[in-house]
Amino acid sequence: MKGKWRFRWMNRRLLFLLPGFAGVMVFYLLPFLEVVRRSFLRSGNRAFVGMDNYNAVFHNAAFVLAVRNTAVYMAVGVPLLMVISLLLAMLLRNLTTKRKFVSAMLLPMAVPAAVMVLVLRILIDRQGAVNGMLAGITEHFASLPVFEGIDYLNSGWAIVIVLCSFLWKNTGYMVILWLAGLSALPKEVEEAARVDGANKWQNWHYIIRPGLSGTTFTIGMLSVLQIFKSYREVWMVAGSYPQENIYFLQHLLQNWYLKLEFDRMAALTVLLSLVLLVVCLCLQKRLEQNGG
Amino acid sequence: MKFRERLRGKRENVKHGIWRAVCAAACAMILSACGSKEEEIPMGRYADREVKMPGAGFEYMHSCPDGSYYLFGNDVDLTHVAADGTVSSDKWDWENNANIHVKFSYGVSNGGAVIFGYTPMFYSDEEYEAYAAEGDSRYLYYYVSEEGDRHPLELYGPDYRKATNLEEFAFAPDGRVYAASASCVYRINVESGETESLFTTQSQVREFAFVGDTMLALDKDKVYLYDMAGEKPLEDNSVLNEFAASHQSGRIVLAVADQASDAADNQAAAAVDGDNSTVLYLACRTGLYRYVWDGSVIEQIADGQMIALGDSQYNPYALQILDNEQFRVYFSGNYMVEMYYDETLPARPSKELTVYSLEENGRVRYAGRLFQKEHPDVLVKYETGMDGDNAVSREDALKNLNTRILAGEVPDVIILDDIDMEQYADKGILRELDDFLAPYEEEGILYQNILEGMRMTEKNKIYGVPMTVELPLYLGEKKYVNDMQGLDGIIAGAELAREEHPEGPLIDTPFQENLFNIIIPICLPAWSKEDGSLDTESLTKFYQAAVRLWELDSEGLSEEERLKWQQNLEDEGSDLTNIMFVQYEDYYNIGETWIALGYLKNAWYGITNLHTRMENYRDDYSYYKELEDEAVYGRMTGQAGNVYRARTITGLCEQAPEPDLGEEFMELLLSDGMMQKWWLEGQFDGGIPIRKESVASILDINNHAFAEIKGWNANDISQMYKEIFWPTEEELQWLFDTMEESNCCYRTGTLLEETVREVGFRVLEGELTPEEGAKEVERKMAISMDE
Repeated sequence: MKGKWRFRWMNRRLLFLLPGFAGVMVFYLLPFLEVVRRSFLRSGNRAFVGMDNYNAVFHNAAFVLAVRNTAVYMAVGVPLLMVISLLLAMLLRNLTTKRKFVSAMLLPMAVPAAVMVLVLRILIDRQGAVNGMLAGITEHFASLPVFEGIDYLNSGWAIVIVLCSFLWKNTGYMVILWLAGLSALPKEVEEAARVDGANKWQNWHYIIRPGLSGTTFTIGMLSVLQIFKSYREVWMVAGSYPQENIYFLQHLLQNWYLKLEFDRMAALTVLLSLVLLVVCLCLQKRLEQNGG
Repeated sequence: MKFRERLRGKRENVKHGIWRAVCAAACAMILSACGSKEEEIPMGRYADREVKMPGAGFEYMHSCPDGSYYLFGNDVDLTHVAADGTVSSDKWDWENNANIHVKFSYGVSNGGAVIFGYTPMFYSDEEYEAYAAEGDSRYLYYYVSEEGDRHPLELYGPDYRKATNLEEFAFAPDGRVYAASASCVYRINVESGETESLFTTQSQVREFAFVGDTMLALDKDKVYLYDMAGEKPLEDNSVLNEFAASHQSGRIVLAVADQASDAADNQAAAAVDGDNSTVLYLACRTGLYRYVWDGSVIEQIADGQMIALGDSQYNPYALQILDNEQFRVYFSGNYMVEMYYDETLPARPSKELTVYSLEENGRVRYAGRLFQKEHPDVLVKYETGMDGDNAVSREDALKNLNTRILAGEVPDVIILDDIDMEQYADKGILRELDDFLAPYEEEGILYQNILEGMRMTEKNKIYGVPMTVELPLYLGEKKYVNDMQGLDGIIAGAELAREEHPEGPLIDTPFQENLFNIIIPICLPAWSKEDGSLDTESLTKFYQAAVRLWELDSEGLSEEERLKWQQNLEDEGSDLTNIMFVQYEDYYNIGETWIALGYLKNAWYGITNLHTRMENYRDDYSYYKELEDEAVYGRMTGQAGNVYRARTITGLCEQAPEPDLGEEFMELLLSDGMMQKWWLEGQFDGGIPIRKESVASILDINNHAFAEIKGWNANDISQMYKEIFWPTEEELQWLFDTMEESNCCYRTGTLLEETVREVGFRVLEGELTPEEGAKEVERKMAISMDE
């Protein structure tokens, strides 16, 4: 009797889950399965080609370039964003006027992408404000060599510019998330540790850091997603074929879409999904090991 | 306990019963919807027939409630066409002595009273100066009563300025006259000239209609309502406003069928509701619509795609309601149709032909209309990626197209202008056309050399056929342009001309873009090596030449002069890829252009004015021959030889749902009738046909029909005449030979051109050297090639 009741209860729970699950099935899983199917077909006549599309992707020089750049961008951008925002959050944590600072830091999030791109252009154009300022300085000091201006978006500086704009736009949001995580930590423990003679480093290392592991996971994932989302600004500033250091996977996907390379796109999408899945699982496992 | 269990059991049974009943009902509904009942095709839809106009030159129609109408225009008499078709004209002999030069805007009443705007004739500089002092392009106005009394109208009023031009007039049913300027609606007393401002508008009102005491004034995107009895603006009608805002491309014309009015006898049939409500009919490119006054919905009664309204060649100017649910529409270009309800036609054609182009293409829309007429059982759906009403970019439009293709919605015919043909051919979207073109080749109908220029190198097949081509041409004084070959030749000629004429523009390139428009087509085919890689050496030379030409052109102009020139041209909206030859006193650009470089398009021989737009063959010859032996012309060459600019490149889709219809449509586009339309008549932006007999049809034109051309001096609008020099046989032979030699195709829409232009602006601005520019293009193209 008890077992039967439990079965019915489970059924009801499943019934409640059904609408949401149906939505996920129809709008995410089934289309994704179709993408997986198409990754084994040729885009024109839809003939079965086995792993050819995957081979073509792996042997594509643009793909290698895009993967390398995206990996570098992520490897530098995500930790930088997390560390800078955490430092700022720690600084703001005990300030009474932190709300004003946080509001100010959120402003970049409210700036439309088009405006941001315009400002960026005004600043870093070859005849822009930054070059003008540097030229002014070199003119002022006769001993310095004449500054001819840097074409930031078409030189090695491009990745630095993109990283700076990414950090500028997303730091405020991440600071808020860190502050939320910090505010959830029990203050009594920290106070007790201080009474017991723990210094700031020990306090951070043994109390705050482990307590933030859940927040770290969330912020890490969000940062990775924000990195992918920042493609829009990069595209608006530098177009479909930017300087080779800022040519990302989204450029490749976008250009393939325009070139009707649907088969390769499908293969690349499957690969990307697998990589993201593995990254998520690893992070989760790490979190579980840390008791988060 | 037992009772409770039984009760619970019964409840469960009831629940299950309800579930089963609901499931059964749902299954029944689904099954009934999927039934195999044969679909009955509903019959009846609007069709149209062309009405023969009583003469040429009309520009305006006023429809009367009795089914008659008035026609009027600048150089024609006021003509009345009765409901039975009887034509009567009102001879205005007095007009010649009334100092009227050109009439511009008109209004006619049901009884035949006329009001119009005009520009006057000037017989002395003093006269002109007096006129110009109050606005040098203002109109004067004239009024002719129903009885024939006439007088100039000296308009005045507290809110009326003399420089304000009234572009639209309307006589209300009560006889009062209303008029609209670009931003205001006025009421005019035609006896005294007193002009009273009623309300302001966002843009020029183009249409008036009257429903009882309410006046409707329609501008680009809004319908203004005005209570004529209470003399105050009324609240907006959101239904009409929404309609106006969503039909901004082309004009909307209105007609009112009021059953309660005196005109009910004639219009009752049109107001089919059966009660006394007023019905408003609206006609625009998308179709004919009916709106019951003060209702909440506008109903489409005829689809524009299946009647003349959808023809982009014409704009509707007037709509008239006739008996038996028929309508008469007067279009721009003095064209009129009657629309009637044909019960024998299926409401919706059984077949569908889909034609896609990235941008609106007038000749394709026109061909679609012809095709529709010839095939009443086919609905021609002409779809454009960027229709002008929205802000869709080229890239977004291409993405949308690709998404459709991915979903299996393939058009039957695709216009490949600005689309990278090779990509679509590579992916198997386009059908190879060699078989389709074989009969044309056997009979030598088309220029085979042009078709060979379209052959894709890798696959050795043809996937797109241009309907017309344009030939690069230079024209100028012999000492500068004689035997001008290649980019070096152009530079040498320009340097010599600059030496002798240190001031003013040299070639017609007010913007950097214009320079690229001229020289990219003659060079682009030379930048790709056989293996598909970029020839950076050629590209560097191209950039060097572009920089030199831009320098030479800029040497004679200050920044301010160039800005002024650019502003003038932006206001004019000119297409500067056409040759312009501006060595005459009546040109409207600043300075003088000594070398004309551009593209030969058509043989249009209708003359509108003496502005020296050199887009047509005969005009070119007429103008250039005024210089007698001093001027020469020839094929302009760059880095690639014998280039032609391909236009309206048409392809068929491999997976097209109606492949036969697609072929028929292409045959129509390639027919002699269509080709002559744009070659001889210069319609749809002209172009030299790829059909040999169509090009040769220029020989059939009566060369002696005109001895001189009439125009107006751009400075004082005075009339002037110039002698016409018709092309000799030798010159026409040059044209035929040049067509035969053209074998190198320039197509728009390639990534290479886009990149070269983008980088090119930076090279011209001095941000990059030509060498750096070429390397930048190479780098960008390398990623693209890798992809």
